[in-house]
Formats: sequence, structure tokens, C-alpha cells
Amino acid sequence: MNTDDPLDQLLSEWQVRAEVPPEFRREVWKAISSTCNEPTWIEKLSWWLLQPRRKILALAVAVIGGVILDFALPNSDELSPHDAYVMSISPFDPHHPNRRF
Amino acid sequence: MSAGRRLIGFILLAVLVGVGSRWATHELLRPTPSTHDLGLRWLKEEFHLTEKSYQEVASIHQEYFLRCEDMCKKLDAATHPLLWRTRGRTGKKQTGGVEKDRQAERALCTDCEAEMVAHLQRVAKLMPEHEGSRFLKLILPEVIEQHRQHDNRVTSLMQR
Repeated sequence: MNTDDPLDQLLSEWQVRAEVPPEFRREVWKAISSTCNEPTWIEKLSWWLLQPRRKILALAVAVIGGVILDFALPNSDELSPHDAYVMSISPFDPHHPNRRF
Repeated sequence: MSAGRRLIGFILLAVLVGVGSRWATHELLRPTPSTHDLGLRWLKEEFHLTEKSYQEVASIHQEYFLRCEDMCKKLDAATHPLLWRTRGRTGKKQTGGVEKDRQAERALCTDCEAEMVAHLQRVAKLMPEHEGSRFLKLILPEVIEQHRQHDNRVTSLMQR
């Protein structure tokens, strides 16, 4: 390479002495954050809940909740035993199992 | 898909899983006893039946339920055409022969009631005396009132 060019000589001697301002890093992050929107609570919740482990945990809670709820609530299909007896023996009971009319 | 939609989708899935879990629990772990079983259990507990009396009571109930099934078929066969003919396919009331059929249906109802009362008296005899009379005092007025209400219901439907 030819080094006779005086410009080469000057370039090889040139040193940049740039000082980074003290608040430079903070200012950069501030500028970045000002261009991004703050995530909404739905996005935060979605991000939090939809992690694979939390999804499995939430589904397990739903299964266990269903079982507990069923045992906690009275069995609505179950008649009072007295009504069940009358219903089973009286053909005139409107809900007698063998009657259609 | 947006975060909101994914969240709503997952919540709906979790609710579905919860509802399915409750349904499965209800069907598999808490089956509803039959009306007959529930009623017989009530008799045993309410009227303090011994195991031996309970077995006898359960046995005569099984026989009664079979007879009752036959009687109910006859009663349905008598009631259905009666209601159907009084309304007719056109919705106009027809009276020819209806009164005769009504009498036949009433006669069947009377037979059913007699059969039921005889059965209840047999059941009462298998109980300790005071429990037997308490049983009849409790049940007889109720079933006889039901017969009266059935009669009124059929009459009312025929008059519509």
C-alpha cells in the first residue's frame, strides 16, 4: 500500500477524543422508553398467566374447584326422601315415574 | 392474536374445564339414587325399621311397584285418548262417548287408589304398631289428596 499520501499520514496521527456526557446512558433509555407504550394490565396479566407452568396450574385449580363446588352444593336433583316415597307409590303424583299423563 | 384475546380464550377454557369437572363429579362420584331407593331409605329411617322389617317392606314394595307399573299403563291408556278426543285434532271439543271414557278412567283411578291403600296398610302392619299408625296418618291423606287433584286436573284439561 502506498503511504506517501500526506492524507494517510494525517489520518494515522488523528485521534478522536470524544467524552461521553455523564447522563448519556440514562438519556438513551429515556428516549427508548418514550417511544414504547406502557403494557396494559391485560397484557401484564396475560404475560403472567400464560406461562406454561401457570397454565397447567390454573387448569388444575379449575378441575379441583369443580370437584369441591359439586360437593359443597346440595344435590339439587335429590328430592326430599318423604317426597320421593310419595312419588314412588302414588300414581296420582304428577311426577310418578310410571305415569306419562 | 392479541394478549387480551389469548387471555380471554384461556379463561374460557379454564371455566369449561371447571364445569366439566363438576359435571363429571356429579355423574360419577355422586349418582342420584332412584326415587324408589330414596323413598325406601326414608321409610327405614323415619319409622325405625329393623333390618328384618326393612327387607320385608322392601320386598312388598318391589311387588307393588310391578303391579303399579301395569296399573299406570292402563291408566295412561285411559287418560291419553280421553284428553286427545276431548280436544280433537281440530281443537274442537267432542263430547260423544267422552263421558263413558271418563267414567272408565275414574273407575281405574279408584282401583289404583284401593291397591295403593291396601299396600300402605300392609306396609304399616310390618312396622311397630305406633309407627304403623303414624305412617298411615302421614301418608294416606297426602295420596288421597293427590287423587282428588288428579281428578280435578283431568276435568280441567277436558274443559279447556
